[in-house]
Amino acid sequence: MFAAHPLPGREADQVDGLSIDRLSAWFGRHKVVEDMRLRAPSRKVTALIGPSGCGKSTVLRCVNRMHELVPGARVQGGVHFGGVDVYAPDLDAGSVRSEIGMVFQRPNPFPTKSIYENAIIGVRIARTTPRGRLMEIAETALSRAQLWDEVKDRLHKPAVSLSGGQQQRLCIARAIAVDPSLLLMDEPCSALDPIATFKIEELIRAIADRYTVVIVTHNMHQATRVSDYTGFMTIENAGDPGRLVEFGATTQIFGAPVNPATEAYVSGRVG
Amino acid sequence: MSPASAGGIAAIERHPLPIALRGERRRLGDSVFGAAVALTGGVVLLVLAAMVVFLVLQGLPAMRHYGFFSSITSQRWAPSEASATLSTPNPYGIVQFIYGTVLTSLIGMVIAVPLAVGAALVITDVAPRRLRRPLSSLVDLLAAVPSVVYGFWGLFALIPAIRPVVDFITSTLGTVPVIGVPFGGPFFGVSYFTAGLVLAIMILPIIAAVCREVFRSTPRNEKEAAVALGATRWEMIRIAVLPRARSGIVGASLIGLGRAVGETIAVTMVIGNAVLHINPSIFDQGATMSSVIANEFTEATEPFHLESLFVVGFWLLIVALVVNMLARVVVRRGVSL
Repeated sequence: MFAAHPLPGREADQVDGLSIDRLSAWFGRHKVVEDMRLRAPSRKVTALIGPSGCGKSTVLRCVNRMHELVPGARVQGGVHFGGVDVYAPDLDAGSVRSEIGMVFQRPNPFPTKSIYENAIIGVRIARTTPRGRLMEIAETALSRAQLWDEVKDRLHKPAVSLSGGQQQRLCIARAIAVDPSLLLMDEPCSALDPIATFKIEELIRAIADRYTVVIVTHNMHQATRVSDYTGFMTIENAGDPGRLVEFGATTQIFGAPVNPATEAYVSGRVG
Repeated sequence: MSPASAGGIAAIERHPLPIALRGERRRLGDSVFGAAVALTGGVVLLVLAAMVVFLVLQGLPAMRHYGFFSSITSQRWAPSEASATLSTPNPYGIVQFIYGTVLTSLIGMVIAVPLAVGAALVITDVAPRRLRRPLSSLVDLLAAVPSVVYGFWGLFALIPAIRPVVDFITSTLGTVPVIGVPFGGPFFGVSYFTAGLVLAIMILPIIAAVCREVFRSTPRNEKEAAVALGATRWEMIRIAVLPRARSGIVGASLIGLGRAVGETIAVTMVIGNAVLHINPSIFDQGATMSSVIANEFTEATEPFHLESLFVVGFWLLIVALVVNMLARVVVRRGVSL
């Protein structure tokens, strides 16, 4: 198996997925997430859905310790991935982030860098790979992000010369080039047109056999198209912290929701 | 999407805009305001043009007498050798002043730019959040110190402080043949280098302030992209902040250069005002275009002396305008990138 994978890293099936336990998060004194619990199984796509402001993105940013970068932000509770406590005191936040890939709402390639440089920048930061293998890694990552055929002849052109959808696939390539065990996606298609969105969704399905994916989306159809499991979060009143209402297989959440709030949301009556 | 947006242009043609939205509708206030703005803008341009014309007119007798470009081909300033009739060689050569201006500005830039970039990064991305604002004001405060105070401080505090270092350099590197020439002694305290050092401190705040704004404009999502890949703070700065800021830093430096080129009183106090010719060592005394004017205009009694100072002023204005225009172009391009 290892020989077939040009990318370094551990085998995804040797670790369990992501588990979030009793997680609460604050911005200053404002509690935005309360008592969040979630198990995202390994090598599956787990979607987090819910209305705007329900704390989905915050949950995601707690997983790779991006939340704590905001001044005054605070986290309580546990996040474990592959049995490792992400918030262990002796664990450096930077090394956590380099193990967990993240894709943002808007495509954010580094504008002064080329397509190639963008693809391998994470590997450069991690300093785990000899220089001679960088091109190989770029090709693998760009292929997995289904971008290779479109960019192979212009790898050294600026990343911003790509279309929005291509830029977002480049950002996905950048995130998976380090072969992270977990990929977090924060509404990755919200800035894209339907065709670009379709390509990204296709790509998420394709990489799901290799990576554990957690995707935040406010597009319920997207959740049904790409995810195996779905968690529904909501807030009761404006200003309340977001909570997980229901979690289950995507078919169950959309087909036979147990909680009335979930039912109201997925049927389009609320939110 | 509503049908209106689909056939937008056609719709506008069919339904003319309400009168209030059509162009060419003016009130008296508009024309008064327009005229006032045009007038104030015109006055600024007029003052600049008048200044150039004035400098040329005042310098014209000397230019006529010695030839128009003889002052910028000669590097010997010896007013006592001037006479009312003799026209060659031009005793009012100004190459050594251009050299002094360029050298002191260069020394100032080499020292100030890295310090200012560092200071700006500390303020925007490194220092604890609580300290950023106070630090920022502190740097701005440096800009408020009057020029003459810098000169005074340079003379009585800076020179004694740098003397041991400079003496060490002149007695080691300065004794090496050829390479040592620009670093030779003796060091009298006042020198090109001292002036450059004072200039560095004077232009640091403006460069730091512009860099600070440039660094602050780094999009948050690009910083987050770097951090999410596991970058340390320094790596984040190197990957997300600095590459974007390159032209901004160049522009900031050119603004600083513009200041350095024109700075007069502090430089005059610490450069030594050796006007005769170029001195090869940066630790030797010299003069700049602005310092010679400030130093000599009150006692310019020799033939064509005062007129030649106007010639210096004219070329100084040209140099300053070019540097400032360059800075503006680069900064504007940098911001819109």
